[in-house]
Amino acid sequence: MTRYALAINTGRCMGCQTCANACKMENNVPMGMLWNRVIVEGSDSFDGAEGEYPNLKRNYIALTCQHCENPACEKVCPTGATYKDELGRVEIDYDKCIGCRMCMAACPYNVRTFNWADPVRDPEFNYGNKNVPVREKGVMEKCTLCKELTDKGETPMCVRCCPVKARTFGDLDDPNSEISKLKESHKVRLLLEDKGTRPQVFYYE
Amino acid sequence: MAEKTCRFPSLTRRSFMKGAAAVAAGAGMLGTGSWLAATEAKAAETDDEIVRYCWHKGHCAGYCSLKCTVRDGRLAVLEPNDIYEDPRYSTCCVKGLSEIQNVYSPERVQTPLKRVGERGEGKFESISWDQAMDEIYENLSEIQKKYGKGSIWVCNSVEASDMDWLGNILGCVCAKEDGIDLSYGSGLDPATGYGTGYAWATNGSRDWVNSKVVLNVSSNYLESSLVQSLPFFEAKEAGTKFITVDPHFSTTAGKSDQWVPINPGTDNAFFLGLVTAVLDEELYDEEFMKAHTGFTFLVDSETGELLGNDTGQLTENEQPIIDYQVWSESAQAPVSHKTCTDPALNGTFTIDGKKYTTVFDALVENQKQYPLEWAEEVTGVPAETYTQIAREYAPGPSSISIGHGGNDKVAGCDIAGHGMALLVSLTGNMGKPGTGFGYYNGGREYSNFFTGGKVSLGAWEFPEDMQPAEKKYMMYDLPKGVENDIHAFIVGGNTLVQYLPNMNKVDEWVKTLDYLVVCDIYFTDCSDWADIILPTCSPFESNEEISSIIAGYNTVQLRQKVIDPLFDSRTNLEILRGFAEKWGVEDALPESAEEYVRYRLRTSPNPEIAKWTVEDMLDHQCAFQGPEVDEPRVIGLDEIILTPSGKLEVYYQDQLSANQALPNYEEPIEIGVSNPLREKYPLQFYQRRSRFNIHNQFFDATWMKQFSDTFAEMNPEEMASRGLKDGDLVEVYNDRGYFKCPALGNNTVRPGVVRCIEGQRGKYIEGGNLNAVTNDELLERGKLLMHGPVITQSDTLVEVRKA
Repeated sequence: MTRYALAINTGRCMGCQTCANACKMENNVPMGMLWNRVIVEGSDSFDGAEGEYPNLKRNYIALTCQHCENPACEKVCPTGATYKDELGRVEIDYDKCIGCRMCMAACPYNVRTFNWADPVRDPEFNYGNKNVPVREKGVMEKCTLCKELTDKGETPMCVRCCPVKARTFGDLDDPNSEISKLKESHKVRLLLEDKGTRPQVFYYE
Repeated sequence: MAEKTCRFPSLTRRSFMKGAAAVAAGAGMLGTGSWLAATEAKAAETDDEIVRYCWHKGHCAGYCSLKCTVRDGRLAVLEPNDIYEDPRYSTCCVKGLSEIQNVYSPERVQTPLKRVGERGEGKFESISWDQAMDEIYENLSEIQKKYGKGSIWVCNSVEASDMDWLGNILGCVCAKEDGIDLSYGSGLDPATGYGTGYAWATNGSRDWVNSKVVLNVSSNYLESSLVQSLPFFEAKEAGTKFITVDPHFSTTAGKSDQWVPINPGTDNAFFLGLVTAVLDEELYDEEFMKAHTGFTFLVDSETGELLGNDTGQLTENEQPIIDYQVWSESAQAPVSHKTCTDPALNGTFTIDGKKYTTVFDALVENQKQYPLEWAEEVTGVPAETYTQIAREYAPGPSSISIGHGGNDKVAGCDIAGHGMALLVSLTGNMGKPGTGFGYYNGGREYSNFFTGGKVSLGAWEFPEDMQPAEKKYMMYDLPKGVENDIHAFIVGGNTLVQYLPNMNKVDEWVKTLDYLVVCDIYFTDCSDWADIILPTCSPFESNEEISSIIAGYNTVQLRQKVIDPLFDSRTNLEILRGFAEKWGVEDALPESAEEYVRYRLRTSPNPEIAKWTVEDMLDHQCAFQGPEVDEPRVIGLDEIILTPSGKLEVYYQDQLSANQALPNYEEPIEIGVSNPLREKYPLQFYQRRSRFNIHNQFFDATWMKQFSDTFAEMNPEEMASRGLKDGDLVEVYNDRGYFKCPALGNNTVRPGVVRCIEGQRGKYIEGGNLNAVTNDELLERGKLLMHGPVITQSDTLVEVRKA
């Protein structure tokens, strides 16, 4: 079996948002939407921090689909549009999506984004990987782990562009993969573990 | 070329592997991954997609080589050039990726424009290139006839430096902004003789891994040098301790092992405190001081003058060579520092009836004014923190990293630079791995755009009679009403607005100019003043297949045409040729960009580079690297200490009249705590650097606006005391002017400060721009500094109220 996942080094992540724009470009993500973004834990303002000056602590969390082993989104999808694929990724069959947004409500990570209206692209053409399907109004979308790249054994664009190499892509079922070794050798943090979604994406320092 | 790597051809894979075989750690980088990937990438090209390579921006010192996929004639994908084996070179960032939108931005200047309203009103009409060049020639040649060639000043931003040929073409003044980024260096560089006032005596940032401590003062490196951030984390993970001194909890402060919050504008007191701690704890390296520093020089206790004989000789830079005298322990007499093998570090001596002491003793005496309790009082940094940092820093190897965007723009920061010179000279933290000190712009790897060095390209030569006119004024003096004969400006970029403080005065001055030409890709506050605006291309656009070449970081990168020029824009070379034709000197310029690129390669002072052709570079994804690229840059003592005496000249005799022969504390001009103006205007106004911009660039990019907007940021405490909520429109004001923008509470901002991201477009701000309030007063003693006074935008007090 294959379980593709991302490991994110929170010690290195410096909130630069390069992953956010790399993903936006590669996947032709419209304006007003991001599949992948960096937030500051415990702070509403970007580059804020937890605590009061000068007793401050800042943790950037690069947030994307957690490609859960027990995905809450998949369970509630009435049409089977959201599915767990053979490579361990949570994917969406856009043709089957009826836009009910049950998955959006179910996802505890708020990483799904919906085409409420006709998508607006700036610039006004389809940028990014030409093999990425174009989504229309009424369709849900989110991180695919760069399906079009990873299907061919290539690396997701966010991983490729991260300036500090804080992201590692790989197969958790391959004990010799770098990602498996990272998981083995580090104290690993899963987001909202109590939700029982069993995220494949993990964070470490 | 059979090999698909970015290495020099003389260094074949075979010989390189042999050479590196002894270095086991390096072996991982020798994999075939990148060149195989490159081959695959080429194979992936289809009929409707083409791949081109283009180095991107220079003013962030990134020079990322981008692999650009063009589909149906449009820029569709950007990614790091995968020819590089080392991830530190295969880079791109959030800004580079935003170019997918930004090159197509409606904010671009699309055609040549002519002013139709009053100057500064921003009203223009579209005209043809022919008309634009006719009118420019008519007006500028008339001005030159009337007032002389030197009555026109060409001033280009760093990003538009290739437009500097306008100085040759017109025979006019061509100079960048004075007094910028020179504060720290003005105090540091005289001691070493290294650098030109920019504080450049650093190793490469990859060498931080060899430092026990990196003391990072007034620099938000992880944002301002975004794509060079990897060495920071590699060093940290290897055990280097990063200590960041910053009034605000910056990104870099948050990623450092220790954050030292400090009162704004008090870096000079911080360094004086550290010097005291080193002296108190006797953490200095006497052997180093005797061998390499002027701490042993003898100074007249009464006059403060050094004892020395003028040899009558001059250095290459025409500095007088003084034969300084030191006290020989064995001879018990003053002798030349050059010959003395046992100079005294301490002592008071009578020579010819006059009392002399060593510079070191003079320092010890002088520092008695600055005990740690005093430093704590001024800076807010606890006394024990100085002792802790001094103990950790001094044994070394340790580095000091400073920035040009923070305290550098507060009056008196040269004193901090001088303090830093003392600190490195006392502890001997220089000239070996792990010991850089200064501004790590772009990681300071080998040559970069600014310094030249290990890799370089040939420079175009102009004939003798085509040299720029003599520069007679400091640019910042012009708006201050100094008598001058400058009647016109040609500007590339937003330079006049970005750089000059007190914008209302600047506005008055610009309106007195007879003519202003702006060449830019986007509209700026500066272009609002223009008589003619000429639209330039983005880095991705060209009318030729090869558009430019650059050397830096031991790397040479070629820029290909990615897309055709958009709108009615032209490349810089086309524009230069347009000027040259009008002035009748077109033969002095290369006919094409390709000719110029081939010339630069062919005439490279580096024989390896001179062997390369454009075709070789195209075959290697437009990038290749020098033979020593795997080793971080480490500068030796003999490279750093370039003073006439060959010693670190820590005693600045030429600043005796200003009481700065040894560094003495001064309050900033405006934000100093004892300034009574604080009652009326209690907040410092500070313009910070951001990862989302390079000065005024990318403010219009919609992909950047996702993350960043125009705000006046304050600590929630300052917001509450003024009854402000997030998003309230506020007026930031003082006696010089005001601007308005929304307020935002941010707990990482030090109380007592209101800050904005620098370089913002006036169109996103009501009532002008950020420099409407900034301080244009120059330090009186600044005339004694190596490049004169420096600009002090952050030495500004304001108040904030709900608009």
